[in-house]
Amino acid sequence: MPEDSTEQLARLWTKSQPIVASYILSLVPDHHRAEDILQQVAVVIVREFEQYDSSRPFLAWALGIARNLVLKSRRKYAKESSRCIFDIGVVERVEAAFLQHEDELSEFRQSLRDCLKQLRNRDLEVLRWRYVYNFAAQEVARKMGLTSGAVRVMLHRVRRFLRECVHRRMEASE
Amino acid sequence: MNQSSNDLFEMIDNYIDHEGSADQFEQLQARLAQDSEHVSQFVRQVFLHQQLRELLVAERLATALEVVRHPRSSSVDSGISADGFFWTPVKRVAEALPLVTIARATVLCVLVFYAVKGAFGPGIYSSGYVTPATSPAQGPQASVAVDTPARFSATLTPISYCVFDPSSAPVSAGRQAPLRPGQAISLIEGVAKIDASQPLGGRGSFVLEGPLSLFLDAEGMPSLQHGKLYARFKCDRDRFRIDTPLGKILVSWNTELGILATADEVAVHIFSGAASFEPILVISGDPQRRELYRVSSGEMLKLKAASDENIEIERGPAVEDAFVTNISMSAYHLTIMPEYVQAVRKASPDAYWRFESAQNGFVPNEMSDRYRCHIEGSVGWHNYPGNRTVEFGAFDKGGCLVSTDTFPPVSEYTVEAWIKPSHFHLGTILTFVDHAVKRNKHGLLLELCGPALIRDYTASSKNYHPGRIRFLHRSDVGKLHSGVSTFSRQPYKLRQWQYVVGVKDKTRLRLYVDGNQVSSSKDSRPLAEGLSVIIGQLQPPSTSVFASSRSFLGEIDEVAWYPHALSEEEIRKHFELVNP
Repeated sequence: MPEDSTEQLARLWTKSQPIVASYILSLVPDHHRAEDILQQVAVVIVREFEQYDSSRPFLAWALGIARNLVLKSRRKYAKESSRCIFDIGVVERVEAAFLQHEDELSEFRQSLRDCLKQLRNRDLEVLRWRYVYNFAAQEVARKMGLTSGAVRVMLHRVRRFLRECVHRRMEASE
Repeated sequence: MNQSSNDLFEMIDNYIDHEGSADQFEQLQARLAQDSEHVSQFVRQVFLHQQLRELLVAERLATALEVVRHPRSSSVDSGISADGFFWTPVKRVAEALPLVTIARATVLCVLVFYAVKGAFGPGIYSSGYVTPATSPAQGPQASVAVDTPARFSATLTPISYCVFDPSSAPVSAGRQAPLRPGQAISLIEGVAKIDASQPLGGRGSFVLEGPLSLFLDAEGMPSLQHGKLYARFKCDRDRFRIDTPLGKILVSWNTELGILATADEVAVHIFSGAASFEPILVISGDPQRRELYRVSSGEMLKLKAASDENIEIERGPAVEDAFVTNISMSAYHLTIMPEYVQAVRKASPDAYWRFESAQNGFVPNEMSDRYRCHIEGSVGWHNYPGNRTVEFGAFDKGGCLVSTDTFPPVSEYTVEAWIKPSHFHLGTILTFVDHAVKRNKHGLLLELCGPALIRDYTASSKNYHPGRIRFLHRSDVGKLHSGVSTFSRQPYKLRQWQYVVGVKDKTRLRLYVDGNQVSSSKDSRPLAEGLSVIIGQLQPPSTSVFASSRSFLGEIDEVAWYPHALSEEEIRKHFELVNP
């Protein structure tokens, strides 16, 4: 691959990667499995990049690759984890929505960083146990000396705060 | 926001958190199938989940790396809270995030590029399995071959107790594991080593210190995403390459180097030989500005991604002190004068191991024929002028010292040792165990706590004690959640000698560091019966693999056990006889 292609690929992937990662997570709601699939997507994208038609949106191309890898692996995932999986019609609607909201989601990211600064230590702590250590509510409860119900409520509340905070900031910047 | 929206978000959260029922999933699916606005809300909420994980993990890594970067500074202490989290202001991390994100994504992309390029190179692989990955919408027909190349080999060996991220656990606890190209290693805590060999006979040895994340590209070369790595190379005709977030380090010939890498800063210290650094193109921007930076023995090159997407270059002297090298480990000597030995003897210990000699695989007890220790596995010896110490962790196989003679169940005792740990790690200085008991067999334990990045191993305490020294006294050996621990308040020092004493008197246990009492706890029960000593690791060798059993890394000397409580004056005197 010529070096200018490598650079172009790096720039396109940098911009699209968070959305591709979220798309995979939306269909395979397991952070570790989703990250494994994301790596596979990156491998295919690099290998096939010379075939990419630059007149078309890169994100659409990347999501197409992600969709196929997800569809390949999610049956096994559903069987192993006893989880329900979305029908193909819903998968397509979700993919279309990610494409539609590409610009908004990029802005969302910056606003979320700002909103995180407003959280109290206790709220950050519950988020860290959940997202950094990938603990379920029950395990977070044990770590924090709370009931699992209280942790679930706390997580919903903190996410709602962040969602509304992001929404306010994005509205203000429009 | 109305109730219907709240219900939707709760369903989405439960779906991502694995908390919802099958009925709730069906409701969610029905709403997504019927209402485009609900799909938009679903997309935003999933994005929130994914971004929270990315931002918080980035924050976590950034703060953990601060500890790696400044292991001896006072910031180690202030950076770690009592409960083990690194409470760093979000602002500092958030400010760094654009570059963090760019570098992470770029690294993934560029490194995968190398991996794929190598993986499909003709003649590299003897065989491979094929995973087709196609996109009907866009038409790429991809196949990803991943297998071990015939001419390359690499092995991962945990040197200390290691915690790997569950999503990348290349090795079972304590065992060596062959590594495959493309394999990711996320070492949260501990020290591990990769030995790699090149087709033309070149050999590289990489010591990884958690928290660290890397993966091997198709040629077996490490791509360091963040963390601290020390490496030695011996190669005549091969060339080693280490990818970092800001570029490639190229090494030929015999070279010894250390690397500290974060997403936006990479420092390369060359201790012998030389290396070249090729900055990453995408960050340097202008292809014309791409150049190789030569770094020679004794030099350090630091690259930092600046806010304008340029790389700032800084040169300076190599700092051996920041890495575990022969020189940094030898910088602090331990000189034991005859007066010290006399003072210890005068205090009448039952056991006093000086490690000055070993005969027929045994280290003698200076006080009697009892309690001599058998050398299990491999330990090293470090010679200082007039003194010799025992060194643990110098060999892959690991090792410890074990005696089968049991100690009396006294109500008072003292245990003392001089220690020089090489890393922040979970490692046992000395323990008294009942070999007949399966679990919680330790009646006395003097150990180092690791960075405690993830695991709470102290059942009797709610809190973590990262980087502290622990003294445990347990009368009810074998009983779960029993025993009393006391912890030092300050982190131990790396690669410096420290004097550690645990005293158990009739009512309390007290911990001393460098002659000063640093903590105490209440316990009036005596030492359990039938205990014997292990020095250098937690578990007896017959029941464990060395590296999974909290092996001590570093040097230990002048270990003594007294069947009575030493006074503060005696303890201070012992310390001052070595550090007047």
